[in-house]
Amino acid sequence: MREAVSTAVQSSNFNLKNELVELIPSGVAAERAVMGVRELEAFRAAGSFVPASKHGLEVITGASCETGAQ
Amino acid sequence: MTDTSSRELPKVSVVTSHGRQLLSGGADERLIDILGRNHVPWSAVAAYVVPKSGGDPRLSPSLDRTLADFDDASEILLYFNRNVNPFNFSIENFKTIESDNPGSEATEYVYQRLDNETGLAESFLKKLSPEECRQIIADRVGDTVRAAVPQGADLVVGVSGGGDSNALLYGLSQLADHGIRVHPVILKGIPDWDAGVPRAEALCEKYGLELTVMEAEEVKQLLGIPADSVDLIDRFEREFQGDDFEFLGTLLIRLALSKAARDLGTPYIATGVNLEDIVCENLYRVTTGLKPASFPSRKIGDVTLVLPLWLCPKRIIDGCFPKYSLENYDARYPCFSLGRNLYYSVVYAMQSQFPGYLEQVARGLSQLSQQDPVEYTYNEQLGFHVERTVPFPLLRKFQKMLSGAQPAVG
Repeated sequence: MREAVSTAVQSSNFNLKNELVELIPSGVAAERAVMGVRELEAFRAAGSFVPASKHGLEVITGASCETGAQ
Repeated sequence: MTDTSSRELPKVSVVTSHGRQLLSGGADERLIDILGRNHVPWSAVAAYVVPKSGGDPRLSPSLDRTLADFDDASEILLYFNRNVNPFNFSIENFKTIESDNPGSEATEYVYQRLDNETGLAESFLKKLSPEECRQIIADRVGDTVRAAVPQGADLVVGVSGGGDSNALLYGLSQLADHGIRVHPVILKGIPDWDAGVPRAEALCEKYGLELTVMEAEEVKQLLGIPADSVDLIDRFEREFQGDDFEFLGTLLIRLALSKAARDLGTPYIATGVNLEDIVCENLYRVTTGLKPASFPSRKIGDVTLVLPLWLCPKRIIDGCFPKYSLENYDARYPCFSLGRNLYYSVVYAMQSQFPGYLEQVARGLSQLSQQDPVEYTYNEQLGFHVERTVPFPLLRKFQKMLSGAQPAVG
């Protein structure tokens, strides 16, 4: 059953490979941000671990391969 | 050289399931160079060449070919062989964050925020003043030392007079509320160690600490070598040609700090092993089937080795006291061991391409290392603790190095 994602979204994502996109940023503009070292250090030295699946599904499905290889 | 002036070069695209990305390339550029320039891993793509004359694209082993070599190609399609977005972690579109004191920047570091919820990796190039670097180091050193060394304990610290030991001593000096007593120790016996002594003396004076200088003769005695015999470095180079003295050097530092700790009646010793060092060590270990060695705190016999800089990147450490770091670099010998070159190179590649990731690797390895810590046993023949059985030929060679007391003739 495929209810979670509409057919329209699925097919448009499927076709992305044929669309020209700018995955590599070109003519990078000098953007600025304001953040203190404590905030930066919070995600560098103590940020959450990144699960393999967005929802951490590997806990359930991972015995065959935790990173979703078939 | 092929004359390409009159003909059109093939278009080059990376085809991913997230979109098709055109790559620029010159006539004399090889496909592998174009991939490298765009940070596309060569091992992750299959090259299909579309003929000008029509027909199906054909798989082509062509990393070594320049664009000018593709006479009959209208297009080169580089199919990414997994459905991930290879450019998700590109750091080139970073946002710059100025230092808190513009004009006094000493270093910079790329911070990368990995947000699982949005699926985004945001990069920030943070310009850092020495004051900001010192704040970072003091925070990280404080976290580790508070967790690993009890309040009021004596801590023996190995120093070299370089940027790392300066930053480490600074971090420890900011722990007044934890009340530990710091005992710096420096070793002599090889030229770059000796060169660091005046800087270490100046540093310790600055922090109000009494520096213990262990003379070359005492250092030799740690391994049972007579004081009036051939220099350590000569012995090492004679017996282990093409290898790196750092291996013996770090052993000597541990033995010297352990001796100083025993003399003081404390189990705690510390060295300046940093983020890249600790991942390098444990990457080597897991690569060769060994579990990670416990960190940031490691029990070896009767001493506990603490590594307060384990989450500190060298770039930030160097920003604390820039002049000391430069002097330390100028005193370096080249490293020749293939393995040491390999593991460090892998670490720097990971850190540079995925700056948000190395700390995650370090923290994961740290958790793993503490679940079932490596145990070290005293080796009677060597006179110090080791983890593994030492192969007999290696033991003999090491002992030969130690016993080769007679000066070389000529």
